[in-house]
Amino acid sequence: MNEKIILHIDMNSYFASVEQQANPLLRGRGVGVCAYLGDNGVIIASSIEAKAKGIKTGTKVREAKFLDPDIVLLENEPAKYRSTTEKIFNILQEYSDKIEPYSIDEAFVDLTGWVKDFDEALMKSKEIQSRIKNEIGEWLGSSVGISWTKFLSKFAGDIAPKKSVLVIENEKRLIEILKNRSLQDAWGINIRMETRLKAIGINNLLELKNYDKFRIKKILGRYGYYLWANMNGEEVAQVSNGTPTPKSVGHSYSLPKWTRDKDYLKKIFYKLCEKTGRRLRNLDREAQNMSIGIGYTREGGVYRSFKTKDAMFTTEEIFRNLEVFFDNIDLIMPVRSLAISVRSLLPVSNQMSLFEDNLSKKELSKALDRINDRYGEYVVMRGRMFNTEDMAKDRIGFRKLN
Amino acid sequence: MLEKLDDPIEVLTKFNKEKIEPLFFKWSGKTYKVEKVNLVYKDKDGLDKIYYFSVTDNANYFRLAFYTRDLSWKIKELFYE
Repeated sequence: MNEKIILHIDMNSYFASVEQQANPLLRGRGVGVCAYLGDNGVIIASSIEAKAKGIKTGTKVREAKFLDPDIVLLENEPAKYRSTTEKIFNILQEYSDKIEPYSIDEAFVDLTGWVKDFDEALMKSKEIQSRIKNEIGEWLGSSVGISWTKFLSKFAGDIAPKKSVLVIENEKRLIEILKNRSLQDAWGINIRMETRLKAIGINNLLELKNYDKFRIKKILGRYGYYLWANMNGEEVAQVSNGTPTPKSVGHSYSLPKWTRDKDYLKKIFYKLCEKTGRRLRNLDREAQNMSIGIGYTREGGVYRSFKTKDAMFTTEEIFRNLEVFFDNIDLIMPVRSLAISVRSLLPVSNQMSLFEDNLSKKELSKALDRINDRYGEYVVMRGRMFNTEDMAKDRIGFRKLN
Repeated sequence: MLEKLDDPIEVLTKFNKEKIEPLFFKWSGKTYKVEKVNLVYKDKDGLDKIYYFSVTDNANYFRLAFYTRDLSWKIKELFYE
């Protein structure tokens, strides 16, 4: 008997299913949820019907219309998905005190001590699947994997047929499942890693499991060892309670208008800095490193990461660092995307700067955040943000929960 | 065909023990019977909460919004074939 019983749940075609749940007239039709609806927009989630026609996450709106002229394209509505996720997680919380949200549509549930064996875990997971359908929406399907490590439970869920449950309860079953299974079926193995594994004679997941532990560590380093440990049912990371504090926060935006106009780009950058700053201040952290990305319409772009002179907390502090960098680059092509993130997050120091009264600016930033929390986003804003209401609107990412 | 709207409406609502349920609503001089509430979700605008009800009658889809600030209703979306 293995010590742990971990369940992984993944909602199928989540954003599109939520849209089809809300509007039954969309069921049985191709649906694409987009960041925005212009031809340059991309599909961030597609319904099962759209997937069958080759429309996947990342497909351009223009291509999607070509592949399925009847497709219904909808602008994403973060509140709809977050609120539905909250209800799903509320159900999960009735089954364990240890839930780790992995993304907006995935979670790990540690059932150890809450069920007596894998049979009971299977029963409970079927109950969870039906409760989601009965209490939230009948169109919301999910795949569930159950095993004794986080990795194996997610792996089981990933290879399980849609809307079903797959249990890997012991070593014998694990070997059966891994036999002739392609390397890329495992979470964490991409094309590049597959090539490296094949180069050392590992052609499928069972061969990875049976490989010599010390040899793989010597050749591929710690990551190679993690892959081996995952395949052998050794726990690398336990289910944490709640979402861990992120190591970085940031925002990116695909521009509806491709341009080299620096004034326009700066306005959007300022808004991305404000959104980043809001999240940073919500975490009560300041940041010491910054990464900036400017993507060109063709391949390539300008990407830079650097340590900042002073810690950043206010939107102005973030933007000032960005502006110094941005003013000094020549844009050689129209820009299609902007990104900014801040890293090295530390508790707020309240250390005074030699050069300016940064403490009262911190307090002012917090006060502005409180006003916006109370009366609505962008009720008060810096002059630089006027007329940016429709730019870089709230979007949802798969790893983002709020 | 999806239409975005923002019109105040009158709604006959049932307040159950744990949830509220729109039963009929009057919009543009016509009364619609809610056949099914498909999804309920919430959003916030500052401290104010807005509850959205995605509902269908026998032919159309509507999104109705209930504003807790002033207990008012609006129709926000209409979809028909």
